[in-house]
Amino acid sequence: MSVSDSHMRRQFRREFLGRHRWSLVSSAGVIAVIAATMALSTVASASSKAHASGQVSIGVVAPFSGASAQIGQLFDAACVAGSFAVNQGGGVLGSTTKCVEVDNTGDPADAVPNVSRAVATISNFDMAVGLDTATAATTIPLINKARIPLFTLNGLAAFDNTADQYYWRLVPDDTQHGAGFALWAVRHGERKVALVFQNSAAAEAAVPGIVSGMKHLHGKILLNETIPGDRSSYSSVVADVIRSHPQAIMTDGDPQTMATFFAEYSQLNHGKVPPIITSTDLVLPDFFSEMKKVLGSQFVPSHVFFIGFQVLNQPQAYAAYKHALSASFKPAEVKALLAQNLSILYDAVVIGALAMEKAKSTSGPVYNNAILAVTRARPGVVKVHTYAQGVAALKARKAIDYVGVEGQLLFDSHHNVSSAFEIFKAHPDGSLKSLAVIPAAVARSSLG
Amino acid sequence: MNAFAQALGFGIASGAIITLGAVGLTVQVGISNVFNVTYGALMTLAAFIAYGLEQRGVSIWAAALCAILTLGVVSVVLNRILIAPLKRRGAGFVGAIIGTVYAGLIIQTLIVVVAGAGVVTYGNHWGPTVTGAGFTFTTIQLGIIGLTVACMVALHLLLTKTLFGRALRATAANENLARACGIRTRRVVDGAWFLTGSMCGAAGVALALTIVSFDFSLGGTFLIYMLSAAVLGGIGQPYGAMIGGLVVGIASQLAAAYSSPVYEDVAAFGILVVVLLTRPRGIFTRRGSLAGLWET
Repeated sequence: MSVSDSHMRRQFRREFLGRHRWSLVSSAGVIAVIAATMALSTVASASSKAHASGQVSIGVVAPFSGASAQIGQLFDAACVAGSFAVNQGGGVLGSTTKCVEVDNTGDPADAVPNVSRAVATISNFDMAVGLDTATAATTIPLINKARIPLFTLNGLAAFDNTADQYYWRLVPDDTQHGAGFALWAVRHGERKVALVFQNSAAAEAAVPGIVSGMKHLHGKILLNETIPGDRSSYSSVVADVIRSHPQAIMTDGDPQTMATFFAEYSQLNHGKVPPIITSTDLVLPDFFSEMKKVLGSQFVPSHVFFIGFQVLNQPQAYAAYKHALSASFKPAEVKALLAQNLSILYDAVVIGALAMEKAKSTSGPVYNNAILAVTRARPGVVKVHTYAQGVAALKARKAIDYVGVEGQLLFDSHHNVSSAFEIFKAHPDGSLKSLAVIPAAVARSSLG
Repeated sequence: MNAFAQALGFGIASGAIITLGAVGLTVQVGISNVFNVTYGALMTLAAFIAYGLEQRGVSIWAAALCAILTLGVVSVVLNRILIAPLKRRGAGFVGAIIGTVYAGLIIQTLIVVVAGAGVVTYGNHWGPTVTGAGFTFTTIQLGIIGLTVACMVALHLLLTKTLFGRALRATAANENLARACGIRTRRVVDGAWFLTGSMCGAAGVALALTIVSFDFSLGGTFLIYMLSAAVLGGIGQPYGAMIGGLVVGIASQLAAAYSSPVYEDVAAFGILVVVLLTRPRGIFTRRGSLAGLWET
């Protein structure tokens, strides 16, 4: 460095700072004021959000648009039933509850701005339910950061050991789910299978469990294909699968993709389709109607096995759930909703509301810890099956254990639950018939 | 060999639909010097119009014909109220593209408002499967291939043997000069947009018939295949687009068959990028373009 260079640098700094000192200082000052105002308003809005009186908003975080829009509508229906039950039981700490749609579009990237906006703008956003696997990874951190307890149905194995304290998973993880696929196939005599899963986080989540399970159970995976969603044709993949001569096809994806794939399979294989093993996630009106239109009304009942977590349908809780649905929807809709196995979200709303009553606060950081307190089986607690029963017991200063439609929920230290798996076939009217139950321990052990 | 023949057959079937759409798209560029991004949304509109009519008891074939003709009219209107005014006001190539992008979004949103965001289906109209020489086609695929061949032959005859075709080529070569020579260029342009809009509608309905179920994003996702075919053949070159559609269709299906289905799009994108980098005018000479035909 030459003397002249350093001299020039000092000269430049002196001149620049000298000439622009006040504009720099004033600019910095303005920026500081703006930043302070934003910080204060965030704190103010957060605290005003947390402690404002009025309706408690339950955010239903799900896709309400796009190929998976039906999922959001179903989640919302279960929330509406739960909200009805809570409001009919006197509300929460004098406030009624309402379900608010938070459209995550089913796309992990699009979900971020939508969920962020919802967190910032929905007043009294004190509870969240729903959340499918596809968007879990991007939106759970947002909701956890906002300190809103979230009851979720995503089964991503990545969250098995999560440290997110506001995260409550109500279903077993997807690896165990995949093991259930493998167990059923082998038990049913189908040891040579083809895997065809849509390339989405939700659809492919069970694949690792299936691969481990089939290997451990001495089955054979003839083909493991991933297909992009919503394509006009899957002819090449279909031809590959047909050539492999599978005894069963394990699959998952959105209804549109599944209908296209299996319609082409039937067409190219002269009407013959092997048994299909898939998730109860596909128990959607769209799936049934599309398959019926292209493959006939008997196709799904005769070819498809659905595997999902077991629902025990505790009688009192189930009756309350059905009553809540009947009060909120038309009879035909109630019948369709009861077939969807979404009572877990109804239970979630009731659990959240009971926890708020227990903690005497609707603020997430306060009532979050009370969730375990109202769902833990232990000596001396009062088992309750409806919100009204729970509130009455809490007012009588009793400790409660809410056993809802799903049965007893046993949360581990990471707020996850285990449950058995159930295999269903569909009746032509769309209702499900249970064929078998796989205990949770058996599913876990088949992973090796 | 069987796998190759099957993939080739699937490629020809999907290539037929791509060709039907790409030729219409490229002729629009040739006649109006505007890349009409609304094309995908218009394909979707055609599919939904046919679906709506079918739901009301109209036979699918009559519904398809109505949809195709309606799209012809809609395309003429689109040109009259958006594209032509943009050109007159000096919007330029990019400005016109932006205008068509937004028009496409508006059409797509209207489809969602009227028909909903959920998926719909025509049901199974595929007919029996035909197998021979390693190829496998459904009856509807054979019908679409036949329709595409017929359309291309008809287009060739129109361009080379009819007065309208000559006027179209003259207008594509030099609109001002054509007008000065007494050609009613406005009517010619309207006719071209009707023709290409009908091809767009035919492509939309054909696509919806083959894919079992669809939603409002149908045409948008297919646009890249048609764009690749049009660029491969040379923008404004209908004969190039015919070959381009076949190449893109076959390449996509072979990529799906021999690597993974996720590479279907990659094949289409790859062709687009390679052509733009190496031979941006397309693989065919100017001779095959509308303007070039006029000069021969």
